[in-house]
Amino acid sequence: MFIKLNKISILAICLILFSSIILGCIEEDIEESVVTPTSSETAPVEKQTLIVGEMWDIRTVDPVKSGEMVKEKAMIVDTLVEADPDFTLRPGLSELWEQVSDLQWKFYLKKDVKFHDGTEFTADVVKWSIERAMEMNPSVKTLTQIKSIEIVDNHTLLFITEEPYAAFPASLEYPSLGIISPTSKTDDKGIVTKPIGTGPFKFERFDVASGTLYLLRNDDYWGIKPGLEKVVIKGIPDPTSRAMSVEKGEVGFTCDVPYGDIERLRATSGLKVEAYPTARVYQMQFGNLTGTPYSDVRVRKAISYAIDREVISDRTLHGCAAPAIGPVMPTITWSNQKLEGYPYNLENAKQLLAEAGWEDTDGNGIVDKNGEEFGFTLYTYPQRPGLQPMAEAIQSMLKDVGIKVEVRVMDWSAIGEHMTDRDLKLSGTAVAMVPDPDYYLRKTYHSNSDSNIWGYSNPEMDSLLEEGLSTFHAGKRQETYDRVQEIALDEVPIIHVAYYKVAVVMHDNVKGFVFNPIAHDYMLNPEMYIAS
Amino acid sequence: MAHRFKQSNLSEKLPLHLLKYKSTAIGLMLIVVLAFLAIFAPYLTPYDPIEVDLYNNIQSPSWEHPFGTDNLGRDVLTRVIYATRIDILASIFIVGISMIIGISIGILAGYYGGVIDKVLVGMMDTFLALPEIILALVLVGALGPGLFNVTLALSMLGWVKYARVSRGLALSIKEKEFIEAIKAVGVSDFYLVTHHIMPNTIAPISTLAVLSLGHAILSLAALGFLGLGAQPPMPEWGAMLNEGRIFLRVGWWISIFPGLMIMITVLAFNFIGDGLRDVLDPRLKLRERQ
Repeated sequence: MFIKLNKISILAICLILFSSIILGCIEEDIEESVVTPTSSETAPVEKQTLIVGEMWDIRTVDPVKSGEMVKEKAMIVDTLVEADPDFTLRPGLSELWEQVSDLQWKFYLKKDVKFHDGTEFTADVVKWSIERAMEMNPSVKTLTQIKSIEIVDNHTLLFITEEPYAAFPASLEYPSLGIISPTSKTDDKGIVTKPIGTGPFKFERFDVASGTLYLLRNDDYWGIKPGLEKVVIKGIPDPTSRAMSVEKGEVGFTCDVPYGDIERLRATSGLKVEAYPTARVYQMQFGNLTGTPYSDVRVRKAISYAIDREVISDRTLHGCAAPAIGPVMPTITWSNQKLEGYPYNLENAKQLLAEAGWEDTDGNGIVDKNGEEFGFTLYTYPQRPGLQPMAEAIQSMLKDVGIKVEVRVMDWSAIGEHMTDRDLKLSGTAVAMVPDPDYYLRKTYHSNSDSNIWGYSNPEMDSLLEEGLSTFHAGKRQETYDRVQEIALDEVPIIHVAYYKVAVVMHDNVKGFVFNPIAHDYMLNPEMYIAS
Repeated sequence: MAHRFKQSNLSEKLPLHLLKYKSTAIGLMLIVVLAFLAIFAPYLTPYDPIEVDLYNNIQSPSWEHPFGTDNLGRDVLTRVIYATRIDILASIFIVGISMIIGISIGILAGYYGGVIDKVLVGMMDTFLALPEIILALVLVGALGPGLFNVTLALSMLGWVKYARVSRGLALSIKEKEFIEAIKAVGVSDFYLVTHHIMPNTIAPISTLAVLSLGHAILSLAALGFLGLGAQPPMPEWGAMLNEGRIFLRVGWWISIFPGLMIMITVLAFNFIGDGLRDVLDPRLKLRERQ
């Protein structure tokens, strides 16, 4: 009997422990909201040192393999062309460029630039570096269309493209094309282990075991003098851990914290929180546009009208998204400002469905046509935490117009095997790998594109997209892409739900940060410094 | 009809015996409450477990929503109650199927012996060498995520322990004198196994089964937490835990309550299992009398 009594007391202890844990959590929450994070708690940190909580594990420091890391975050390398936050191009390592013919581009390099180790920055180094990137990464070749590179003189290069390619200067902004010196240390497989670039920060060391990258200020930087002395970039892949380390003061800057935590972090004194729209869009693609209910454009429009993008962005994703109009967010210079999109309108949605023949004839709340009910499975994947709640919100919104949706969450690679022509997929897709409209628009809307698995085909669209490739006059090119976006919105071959926002959290004393949405996640800038 | 040795009068007194143990009584009470929740779910709460209310998300517990609401504004209490239905039914299904497979294989091996036994025991050992949850992950990966697939995968993997126990029992029972007697009468093997060996394995197997129910719920919740089990918006404890994970600091109620339910249910099954073992194990009873 003694043993039995003991079990009951164990149960009691368990319950007491559990409730105290819960109470402890609540109390902790209240306490923590008044605690000011200090940057000196864990390690003695020197002035002008910024520790960054990075969202991916850092595995390599070769710019070709992880250009976003080495160029955008670590600022070790520069590219020939850079871009402003509105995606207009500006000179990077090249002072100016000119188009010689349809296929030829001349780039004049900056003359007062030196690599971190003092190596001269010359045309043959640039040629070597770009050719190395093309050799190592086949996507660089498709993105740039480079056929060959010729050296004109010590600081002038001539690029010859395979085809007329108006996006060429923009493609040189691609972070994998960050210029490194041939003196960079490599391992026996030719992967760079100590990159030597021209950027505002020098590589100090990379601790492979902890995935931490240490950087030092480059006092001879050709641009403005960097404000920070040291930057330490630590990979913290779990969003919750990132939020905690910026609160505790272990890191001074981090991004993409759980969207549920944003409001709480914003209320924490000593922290600055801002969610910035990036060039990534949450989009819903149809399984197939032929032989399904979606071959009728009215059905596609009805689905688009039935989605309340405002509430998804503000409530479901807690401000970590912005309602989408078309594929290109309005702050990007090449977006068509006249478009209005599909503001939430249940009546329009129902009417369009009725016009397409989808009506609820048996009164069960689901629309049907010829005895067949309208339903589909919405597939999405777990890697981006905003997708599942968004899919569930869409599910409930489409229920209001009588469409029965099932949500299935599975690994990105497995979706293709399960998805049928009738199903839809919700994903977060990069809109600008390089700062040019051609990349995403041709990929999504051209009938020959590999990504266009839903089979959208419109001859006018195809010819406009091809025209955009060989139109070099900026104004005329803009007209072409304005028309592309207009047709895209009018025919809705793909539904844009929201623009992705990345939440940046930093300590109050970190100043000078300018968010640039051309970054693939976020990018740091040399103007940053720590105020005392 | 069926001849059961040693425990002929036990089955009638079983409930009374069980209630003598306080922890078992508590376990039974908890299970009765959980069963009540599962059966009468629609009458217990005014909300729909999948009805989304996007404007009232992450509301802390109140009179209107005693367990608060989740990120999509669904009532957590309602979801927890409906999840009871899904989790308990699925775990019973898992244990039931693995029991049927396990007993059949175990008795087959134990009763016939020889090559059949060697092959089947080898199979059991192989299965035992592999961690169950990893195998389940592989199976679900192949079948695709979903509650049905997870239930199926776990049913296919849980049979080994039943097979081992019933093989052992069959080995000892087949040597008994009454079996010799029945054989002498000339009944078929099938009749002998189903009418005389199987009934005698029920007591130990049922203890094991009740204890495994808790284990099944944990595995189900673990796979649900990984996003492989119930697909949204179906309420399932493990999946609810996962959904609330990123809101732990702002909305602890979203994952604490499903977590508590998992704990209580597993505890209840374990209490009953312990009690059953104490009552049904003759050696323990003997010790108690002394």
